[in-house]
Amino acid sequence: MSSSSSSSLPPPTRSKLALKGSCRIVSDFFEYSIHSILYQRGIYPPEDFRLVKKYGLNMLISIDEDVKNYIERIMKQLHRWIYSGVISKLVVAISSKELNEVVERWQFDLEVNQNTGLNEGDDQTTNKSNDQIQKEIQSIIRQITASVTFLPELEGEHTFNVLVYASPNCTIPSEWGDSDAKELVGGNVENVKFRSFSTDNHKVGALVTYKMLD
Amino acid sequence: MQSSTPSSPFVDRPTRGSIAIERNAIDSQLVLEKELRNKVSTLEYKYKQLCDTTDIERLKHSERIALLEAELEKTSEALESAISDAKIIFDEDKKLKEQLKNASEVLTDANGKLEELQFKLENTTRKLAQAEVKIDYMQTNFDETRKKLEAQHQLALKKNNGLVESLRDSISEKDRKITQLTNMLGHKDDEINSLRSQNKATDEVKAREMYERECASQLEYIRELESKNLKISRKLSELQSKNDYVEILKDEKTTLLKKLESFENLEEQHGDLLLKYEKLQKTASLWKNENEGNLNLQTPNDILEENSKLELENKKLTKTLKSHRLELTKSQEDYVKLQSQLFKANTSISQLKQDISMRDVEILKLSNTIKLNNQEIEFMKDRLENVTEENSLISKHLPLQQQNHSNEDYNTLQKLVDDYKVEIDELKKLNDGFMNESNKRQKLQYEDSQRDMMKLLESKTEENEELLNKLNSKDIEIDGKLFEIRKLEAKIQRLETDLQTSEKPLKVLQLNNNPTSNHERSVKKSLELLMQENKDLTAIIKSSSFEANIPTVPKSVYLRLSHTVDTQQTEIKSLSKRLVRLKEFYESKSLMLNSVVYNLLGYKLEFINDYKLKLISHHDYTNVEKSSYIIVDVSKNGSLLTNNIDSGAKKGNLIVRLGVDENTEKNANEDAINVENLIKFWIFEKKQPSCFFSALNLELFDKI
Repeated sequence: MSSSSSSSLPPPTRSKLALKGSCRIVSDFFEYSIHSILYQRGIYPPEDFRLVKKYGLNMLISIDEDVKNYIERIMKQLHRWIYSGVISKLVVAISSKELNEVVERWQFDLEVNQNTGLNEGDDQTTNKSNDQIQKEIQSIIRQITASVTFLPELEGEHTFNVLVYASPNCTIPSEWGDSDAKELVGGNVENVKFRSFSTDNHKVGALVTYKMLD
Repeated sequence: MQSSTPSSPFVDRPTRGSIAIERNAIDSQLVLEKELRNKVSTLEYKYKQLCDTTDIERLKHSERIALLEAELEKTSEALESAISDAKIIFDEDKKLKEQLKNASEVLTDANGKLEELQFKLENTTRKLAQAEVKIDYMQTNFDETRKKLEAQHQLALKKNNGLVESLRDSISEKDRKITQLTNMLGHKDDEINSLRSQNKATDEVKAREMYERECASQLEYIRELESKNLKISRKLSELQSKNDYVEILKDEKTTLLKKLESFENLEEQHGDLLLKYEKLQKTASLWKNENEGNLNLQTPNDILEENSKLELENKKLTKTLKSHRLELTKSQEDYVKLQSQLFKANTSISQLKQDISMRDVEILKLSNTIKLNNQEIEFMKDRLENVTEENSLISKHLPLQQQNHSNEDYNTLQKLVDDYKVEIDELKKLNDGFMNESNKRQKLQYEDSQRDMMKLLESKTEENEELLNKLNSKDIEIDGKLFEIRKLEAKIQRLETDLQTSEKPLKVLQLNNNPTSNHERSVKKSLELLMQENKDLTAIIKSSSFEANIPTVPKSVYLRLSHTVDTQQTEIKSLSKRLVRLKEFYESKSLMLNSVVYNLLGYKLEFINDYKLKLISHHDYTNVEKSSYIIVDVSKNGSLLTNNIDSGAKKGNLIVRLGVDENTEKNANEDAINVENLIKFWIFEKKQPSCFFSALNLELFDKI
């Protein structure tokens, strides 16, 4: 059965496999970054998080079922979108429950390196090693962790939302809908750009926007 | 044998009395006292326990009261906040109403202004329509007058032409008449002359005068006609100038009409351009907005510049590609030429080989001819010898003269033969020399040619290989360039698509069921419910039922309360979840602490209830009873009250038995550690629980 099914399907090329691997790396990074932001910014209490080893670091991921389900649902669709190359940004908007306004905005820019995916036959990969990619991701995660030192303390209860900037031609599932950009309004808005990492097919940059205290 | 007392070794033993009875009595009294003391202590313990339990209960009650008070405070705060919210909402409502009023006033003003503007617009449109009608009327008048003028002009032209023609006719008639009259005048002059000559009568003068008068009148008439003719010609010139003016006007009109058409087109173009400009401004503003959000985003100008750069680069690359292709074609042509040269060389080699074979054949032929000549010579020699013999015979029979003659002939023939022989030998020699030379030459030539050809071939093959290498390298370069071009094309396409997509804004998507939206939804719902409640309550206050003291509760209050209950329940759920998680966390941490304490201090801690602690030693004594443990009461200020330990056989005392065999079991009590003495001394007297544990540990260590 499997042989017949495999013979009917086109064989996976190296570029396709590389693209899939790259998508997995990027989506994993997004997932762990979201968890890390939720922990570091105190959106949920520390006892809601569990320690895991990832990227050679001790990362904290949420054990709350609602949060886990929400992030899993996002990641499931996000992986497809990354693979089809229709998304350009992922935003984690933290908003105050009392004020009902966005107080912090974590933006991850995603660039698709289209040179490698010109043709199926072209295997023009730069062959970046996994260790190198992991080191780059480590540095971003460390920067996210260290950002707590300069970001203002979030007082009161806060909630979060994940936004995705997709191209207008992409197919949208029924459980997804349009949203506003959740930009920070008013003065004293600061931007801090973090390091970036890149795979053979993607480049990911990070940026945090927050309101300075008066 | 001295019986061991249960008292501590640290406590002094009772003194020995002299009389045994007294001693026994005292002992019994002591026992009774002890029992009483024990009873008192147990009662005291129970009393203390009861006190503790009452205290605990009191504390619990106070905690509960505090919690309830806190809850009450919270609820009162929530109520106050809700009231304040309601007040704020009421105020906001008022404000909004005022704003609405203001807005309605502004709207009415705006409507009035709008109406005025509309009226003005209507007036202007009416005026415009009137002006248009007037323009049309003027245009029609203008056309009519133009047509009339044209018709008049044509009529006048026709008339003028008729007049001119008639005048011309009349002038020609007059000319004819004048010529006739001049002829007649000539005739008359002739007649006058003849008459003068014939009759020099007096009537001649009269006739002449008459004739002169007639001539004068004729001349006057001619002059009048000339003046008329001049006038007509002037009129004609005027009309012609008018006609020219009309034609100029026509031309101007056509040019103006054309201009008008072009003006309309230009107006349309202007409108289109304005629309495009607005669109571009919008897109530019969108770009600006997007740029504010995203620092990395390029402006359209940047993209266009990049595009132009890429196009230039593409052009350069295409030029280089063309040049490479030309080079490739040249090299291919060279290759073809070389191949043709090689073919030619091969053909020349084959020709040379053929020539050599031909020469060989010729040489063979020559050698055969030589052989034949030799045979002929031999034959001729034989014949000559025969002839000499015959001649000798004949000479013997012939006279001297004849003999001499024949001898001479013979000698000449012999000479001839000798010459012939010499010539043949020379020819042979020559042939041999020639043969040798030709062979050598041929060989040398062949070798030389072969060497040359080989060299040429080698050089050509080397050249060919070089060219092939160059070709390969060029092919690789071309492939690289083609790949670069493809890349650039893809980039251009991507940029174009980006440009196209940049015109379309990116979609911002979110999961419909997300925490922020859920929170916003619940807040919105609660606000709506509160507003509804407020509205209903105000309506009730205003209504007569409130005045009539009829207690009515609107449905919105119930709905709002149920919503708050729901939200509170969800909060409770989340809090209970958190509590469970905290408990788990605490348990894991306490287990960790227990294990740390167990490893460091040597006692495993277990809570029997909130105030009783079970201590199990860590020491791995093989002979120690596994169920041995210490129960510690930590009810009041952490004090250890072990004297109230349950009276179980093995509870309270950590009994150590060294050796389990029957002989040693009898003396087991000697080896047992009396914990109570240790407790009494270290905990009650010295107040040092930590020392108690240290002493116990030491005892255990010594025993084992």
